Amino acid sequence: MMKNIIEINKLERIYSNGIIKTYALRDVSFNIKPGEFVAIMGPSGSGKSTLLHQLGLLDSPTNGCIIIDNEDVSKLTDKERTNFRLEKLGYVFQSYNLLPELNVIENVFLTSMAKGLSPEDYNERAKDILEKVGLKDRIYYYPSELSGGQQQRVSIARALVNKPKILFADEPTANLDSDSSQDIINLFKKLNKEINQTIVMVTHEIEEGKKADKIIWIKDGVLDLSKKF
Amino acid sequence: MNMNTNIFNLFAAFSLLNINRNINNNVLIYDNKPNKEIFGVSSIKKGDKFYGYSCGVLFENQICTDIDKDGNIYGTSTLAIFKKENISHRILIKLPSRGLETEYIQKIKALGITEQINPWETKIGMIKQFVGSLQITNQITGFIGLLTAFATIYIIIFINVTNKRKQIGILKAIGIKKEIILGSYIIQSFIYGFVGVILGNLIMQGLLALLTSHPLAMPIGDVVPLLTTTKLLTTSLILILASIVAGFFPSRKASNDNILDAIFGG
Repeated sequence: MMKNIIEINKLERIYSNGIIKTYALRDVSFNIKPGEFVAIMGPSGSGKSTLLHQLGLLDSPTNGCIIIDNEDVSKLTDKERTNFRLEKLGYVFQSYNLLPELNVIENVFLTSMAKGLSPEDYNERAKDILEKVGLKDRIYYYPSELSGGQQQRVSIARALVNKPKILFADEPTANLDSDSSQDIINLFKKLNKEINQTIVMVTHEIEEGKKADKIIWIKDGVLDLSKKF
Repeated sequence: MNMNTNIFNLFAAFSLLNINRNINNNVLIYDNKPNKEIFGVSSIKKGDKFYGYSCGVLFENQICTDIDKDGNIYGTSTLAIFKKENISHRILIKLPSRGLETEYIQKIKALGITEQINPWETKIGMIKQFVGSLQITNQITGFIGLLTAFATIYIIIFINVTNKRKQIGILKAIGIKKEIILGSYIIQSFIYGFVGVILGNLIMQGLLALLTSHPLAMPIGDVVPLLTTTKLLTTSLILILASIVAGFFPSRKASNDNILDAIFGG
């Protein structure tokens, strides 16, 4: 039986404001297998982004356990979490947040450089992944010279350059027109099939969710098991 | 030497010590009126009458025919000059070299002169105070300059990290260590400080060249600024260090910021 790449057990995230406690996530448990393309969906304020932040080690849960790649990440120190993110996780955000002073390839190899790879290695890796996302002929362009869809492709390449175990995407198409959104989702699907990339994506769009292998529905901070697609 | 005595007699005594060989360099003669000191012979103008003294002989009604840029008076061959009377309240004596003060004071006393004789430090005390005041002013302006540089760089880096808060959050999210972020802003601060020091030194060298060729005229003489290599290196290093420290605090705050607060604002 294939081992899970992500295991979540009784996850809780509580925001406290004095004596008032707000449950952003409550008793959330699920598993994700390697190579799965998973969409997290739900209405606004349901807790899907909060869940993604817990999985992506951008925030710490109040209670519960998160195991990623056989490691209990809830127990990691701040420094270890940073290193874990660099080594094993990739992120794509709603806004592309590329460094405007750097060109495409420099934006992409930034994390490989931070990882300590040699210039030859990180250049080669960046070129490979830019070819995969269809930007081979734009490697020396600056972000301001690219469309929104192309910038998002650069941020996907940046997220994948270190060959992460899991790619997290937080509403990656929210700032794009429908054609560019379709391109990005198709690119995710392609990466999922071709390099067996595990992808966890938060989205509002049901059509995008349908491209995933499975959808995790969430409502009011708890898993909504009534919905299936 | 403070006194009210017949200065001709004194000159006769001095001539035995061979210290009045040159008007401009060895003996400076002062007016007989307190608070109207004549520095060197500068108060004697072309056409003025004056007394001259040489080898025990007084020469009256000497007329100054010209004074060159070095202060040499033409119209007399005397070795000492003074303006009016055979009385002076003070005479300054320039010795052949420093360190001979005690020896010469003893020699002058040995000649039977009973007037008050003080070494140059007594006169120079006023100059020391003046220089001391200048140095305090210099230190105060230097400290204010340092504070200004510190505050400027602090503000620049603070604005930079505030404007790029979201970007810093994203960088941390994708796994860039906070030490790298902190280091990059400290390098930025260092560059600001380094460029500032280079520009400041260039301006300083220009001012030094200007003030050396056109010294500031002060009552004690021409004042030329002096910048030693040690002073230059010390102040440059202090400025660069201040820049780095100024950049460190806002950078550290930014690099320690919570990732989600930085990205989404909080």
